[in-house]
Amino acid sequence: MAESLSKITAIFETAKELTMEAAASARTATLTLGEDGVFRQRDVQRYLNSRHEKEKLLGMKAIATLMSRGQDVTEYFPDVVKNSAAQTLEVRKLVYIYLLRYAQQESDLALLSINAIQKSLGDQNPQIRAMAIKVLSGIKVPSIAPIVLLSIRKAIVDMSSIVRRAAAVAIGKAYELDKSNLETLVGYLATLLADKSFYVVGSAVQTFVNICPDRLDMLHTNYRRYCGMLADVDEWGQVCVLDMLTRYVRVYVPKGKMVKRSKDAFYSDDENDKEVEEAQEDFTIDPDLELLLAAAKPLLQSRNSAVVLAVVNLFDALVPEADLSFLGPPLVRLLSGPSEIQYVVLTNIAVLAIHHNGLFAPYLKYFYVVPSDTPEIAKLKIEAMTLSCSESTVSEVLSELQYYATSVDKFLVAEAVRAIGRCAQISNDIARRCLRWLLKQIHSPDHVLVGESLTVIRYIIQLSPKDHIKTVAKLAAALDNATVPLARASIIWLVGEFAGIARYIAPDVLRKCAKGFADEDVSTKMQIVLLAAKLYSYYVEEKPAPEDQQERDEQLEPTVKPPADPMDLLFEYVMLLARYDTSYDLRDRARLYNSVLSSQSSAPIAKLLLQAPKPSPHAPSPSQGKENFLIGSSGLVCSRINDTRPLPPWSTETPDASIRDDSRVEEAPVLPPMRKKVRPKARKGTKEVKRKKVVVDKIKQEKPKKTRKAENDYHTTLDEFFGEPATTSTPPVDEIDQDSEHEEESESEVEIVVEVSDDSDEAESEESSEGDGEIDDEEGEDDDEEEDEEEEEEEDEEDEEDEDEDEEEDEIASLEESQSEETEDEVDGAAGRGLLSGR
Amino acid sequence: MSILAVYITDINGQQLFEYPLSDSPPTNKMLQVALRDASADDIVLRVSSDELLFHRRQDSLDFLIPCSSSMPALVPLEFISHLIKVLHDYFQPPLSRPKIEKNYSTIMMLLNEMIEDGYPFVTEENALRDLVPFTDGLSKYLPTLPKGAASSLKSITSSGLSSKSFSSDSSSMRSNVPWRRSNVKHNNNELYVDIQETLSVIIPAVSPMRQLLNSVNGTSNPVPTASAFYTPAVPQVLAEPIVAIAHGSVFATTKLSGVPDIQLILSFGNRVLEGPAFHPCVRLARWRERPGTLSFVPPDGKCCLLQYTISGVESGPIGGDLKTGLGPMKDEFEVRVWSRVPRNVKFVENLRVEVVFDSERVQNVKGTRASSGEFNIEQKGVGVWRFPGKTPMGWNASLRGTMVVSEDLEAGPDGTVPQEFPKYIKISYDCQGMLVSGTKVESLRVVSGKGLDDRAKPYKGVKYLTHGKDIIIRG
Repeated sequence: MAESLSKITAIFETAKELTMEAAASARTATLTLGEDGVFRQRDVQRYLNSRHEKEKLLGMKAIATLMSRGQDVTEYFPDVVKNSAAQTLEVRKLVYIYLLRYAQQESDLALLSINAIQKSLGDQNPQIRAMAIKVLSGIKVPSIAPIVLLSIRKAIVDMSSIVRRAAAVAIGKAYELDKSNLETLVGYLATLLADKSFYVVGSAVQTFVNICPDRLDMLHTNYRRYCGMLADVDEWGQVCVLDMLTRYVRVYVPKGKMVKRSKDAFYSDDENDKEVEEAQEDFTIDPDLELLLAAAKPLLQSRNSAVVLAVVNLFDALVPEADLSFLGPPLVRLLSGPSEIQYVVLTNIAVLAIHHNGLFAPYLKYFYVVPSDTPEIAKLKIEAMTLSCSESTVSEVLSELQYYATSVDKFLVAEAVRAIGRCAQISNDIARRCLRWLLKQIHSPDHVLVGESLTVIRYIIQLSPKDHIKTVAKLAAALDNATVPLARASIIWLVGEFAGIARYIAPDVLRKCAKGFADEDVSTKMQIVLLAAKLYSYYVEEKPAPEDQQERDEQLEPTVKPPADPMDLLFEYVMLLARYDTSYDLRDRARLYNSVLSSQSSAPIAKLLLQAPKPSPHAPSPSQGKENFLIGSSGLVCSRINDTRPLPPWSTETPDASIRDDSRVEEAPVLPPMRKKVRPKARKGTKEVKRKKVVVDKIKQEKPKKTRKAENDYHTTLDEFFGEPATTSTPPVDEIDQDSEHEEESESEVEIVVEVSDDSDEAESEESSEGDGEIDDEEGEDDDEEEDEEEEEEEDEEDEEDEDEDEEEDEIASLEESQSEETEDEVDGAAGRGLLSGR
Repeated sequence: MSILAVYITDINGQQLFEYPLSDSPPTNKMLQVALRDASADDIVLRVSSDELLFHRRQDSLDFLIPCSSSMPALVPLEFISHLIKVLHDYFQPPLSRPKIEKNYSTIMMLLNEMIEDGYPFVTEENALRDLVPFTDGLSKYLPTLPKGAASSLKSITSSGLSSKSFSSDSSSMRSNVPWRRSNVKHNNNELYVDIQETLSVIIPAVSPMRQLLNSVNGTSNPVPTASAFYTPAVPQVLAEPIVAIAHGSVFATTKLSGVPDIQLILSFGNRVLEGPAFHPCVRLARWRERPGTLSFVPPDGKCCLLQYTISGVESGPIGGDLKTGLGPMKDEFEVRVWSRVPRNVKFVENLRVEVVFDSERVQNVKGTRASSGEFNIEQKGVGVWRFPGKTPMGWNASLRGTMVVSEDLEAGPDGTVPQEFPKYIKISYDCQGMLVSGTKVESLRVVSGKGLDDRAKPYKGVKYLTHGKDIIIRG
């Protein structure tokens, strides 16, 4: 009776509220908050403090608008915090977002909301639990660090993967909040890293990268499992997992070696890679590495370009010696994306092409520049094209580059001519061909083309000056027709540079130039003066007698082929012309050369000054020097930044592969009957394994206890912590609390280090199995079965060479089960897909 | 490794939206300074030695994402793509300033789900729809509204409802198919497949030598003095394209109730797909067993199932060429375009030919005579020849004209200024009903559908579209 009465009153209550609601909405229809874009503080506060959910929502939306506009809304803090227990999820979410951003500034007030959030931790809906843990860990108030730890501990054994995933993220935030808790948090993280759900693993690895990237040893037992579930992890998680596994392999898996005898293809995928077999030297790799490579390869088909580059990095970092030709198509395909992604991909392609010359050879056509390409992209395309071309494709590339070099776009012209210079390095034949074409361009009206051509000509000549005396002669001849001052200046400089080798040409060039000196451009005049000085310095050097002017005239010997007399005259004539030039710079230079060359005493200086051998111009590909950056990293794309995470070097001594064994022994509950089988195995394993196991077991062992405790007196404890909700936080109590936490933690830490004795092992395993059984019965059973078979297999064959067989059997075993996760077959299709087809 | 903030600004750099993720991220002002200092093409900007800025412009809005420098470069860029996709899903493209300003709270809640601890978290549109309700008042009246979103709306309106009821039924589904929204209900069950191909072609200039040879052989091009309006049948001799690449995307738009399982079989002829990329929903094992088979449980709404690239395709339904040095003074050029003999298409749309010349050397284009369409110089160095509406197949048109060379140019060595001609022409168009690669849908069927009424036969539709984007014919 009383029940029905209360029901009726409840109904009335709801009806009343609904009416009020309707009235309120009618009111808001006429008077919407912030309609004109202005929010008066009083109005907003009134809405926030309203009894009606709808008005609260409007109030919170006003706050959201102000926040998004970048206005300071800390003044609303008390009004907002009141709504942290609002009924409507949307209001609550907005309150949480507000708290996440401003709690730090009003930490005392923020504490008021903690209680409400904590209540949500026990909500039935996993999403609300996940949200609560997210907010709790995100509120940057140091004094709640112990509560965060407590709730994470509870969340990592939550039944819902959504909550466990949220816990994985929360661990990272809790670390930021209080770095002293690292050890505890790493312990929690170890549990999540071993989680069965791929949904959780992605985020756990992300947190791992953020808080303890060097603890790669935590991954031993997870390594093979991750390889199996890689395809199912979400795309952002894949980026992290791939990166981390790359690092792991560098440290703990032996490097692949070239072996003479040929075996099978180094790994076989159902796809079309058979070409490896024909190599005489075969590339053999560790089976664990092979497992990873096989798992990573299908990810090249990801729609997410970040994943593709992470896979490419993995192959480039781990098996650079292998045939990587399959990396070409996915990278080339990304060039159809938005220009930002094209740019980043091309930068990476250019770097890859430096090391793997042939990688992109079949895809040259994808690098042809189209008019819609931005200059940056065009530049990278030209570079990629140049780097990928070989002797067989060079003519195709050259004709394309020549087209760009004569195009309208100045930027393209310069870049293309430089690229032609780089092509010339391939062989002497090609160099000659390039040179022939470049010499033709000197007469072009396009200044950029001429200038760049001459630079490249100079470069090619300087590579082997002796072979190119004829070219210098041709250049000198071209001077008669060249009209562009820049071109003339460059040619004269070049002739002067090679005056020592091409003896017969330079004086004649000087003679011709001196004739038309007055009409030349200033830049050309300077080069003429320089040429005169250079020639004269050679002349002075070879002149036998260090006498004065008249004597020199008499003593002229045929050591210098052109008659010495004209040389003197020519030099003086040019100096005279320069002395009366309008350009003071030119006059100064002339005076300098004149004084340096006039006396024998300064001859060495003159020689140094004028005959110094110029270093051969270095013409590296623009991307050269970026090889140290990882493929896909930001450092590759943007210069001058701190790239803090270089790959670890290959370790020379890798531990035995057995450290990666028996992942399931820990992961799944171990049933008493199986102990006998497991124990000999454990004894065989290294000490590291033992210790590792203990870590996980300990945590598992603790969990149920903690959870129970948390469930019992969770809220009361917290109320004790903070006393009255209105009062500020009470530091002494906090400290005590923290201390107690630490005591517990340190206790567990001590336990971790303790050596493994057999009986303790047993006790733990029992306990842990109990704990796990509670958490997920259904899955636990499945795993037990799997476990069973697993164990038997493992006992039979302990050599790693039989790994493949092991996997196959594994496959068969898991096929029988509906919810298998380790199946090789399902690697590519997400487990979700597998489940679907199952249902 | 973290995203520091998300800013949305208009193209003038005025901030519309901010979502800081760290204590003191670089402010929009700092970023704008970095943007101004950089050249327009810098994709990744350095803000400081530890901070980078990734940015992208979309629908007249700029998305700025400052990140810490250890972030892999493509993660923020891909994240921006996802963010734009999600915003399009919620607010319909194109995005605009008022749309952003009206929906601050929704965008904020979306970002709250999309980024966790400075790293992308939930970015699937369907998953987000379960997490963040439409607050747009219109959505109440949408018949296809999923139950999850509806219940959250209900929870807004009826305050008596406890939060427990909020999409508690949706959580179980999500873990299995993370990309599909839970409890989808549609009154009309529909399934559409759209295949789009973007075609890029480069046709090199026919070398004079080759032209000569052709004329000798008699299979030649028309005589140079032919009238502008004399348009012979489709020319026989054309340079082979040096590049002919089709980038294809297969989109599925599904409006099916429950959890449908769909099989789509495509045939690509004998062509090789270069590095295909798949939506996570596609079962790769099936594809590997039998290439061309896409088997999937689709997300609700539109998604891109497959992206592929095929090289060496045909040069498309529209051809063109560029001839120079015609006319009595040898100073005329002629551009011709034609549509090929129809296969199964009736027309192309939005045909447009750009005639590109050196704006520094050419003052004007005079005496243009076009057999159809309109030719105008629309920007520096580019004349655009448009054919509005539909252009039928088996059609052709030509354009003649002379480039007027700038007077202030210096003379060449022989004392005369060389005559200028167009550098290249660029053709673009849309063609419905065909794909240049010859890709076809062989079959499309709903294999099974949990929650889909057996009697309800979904309406199925397939559409092809070839988008000629960069068809370059060099002069």
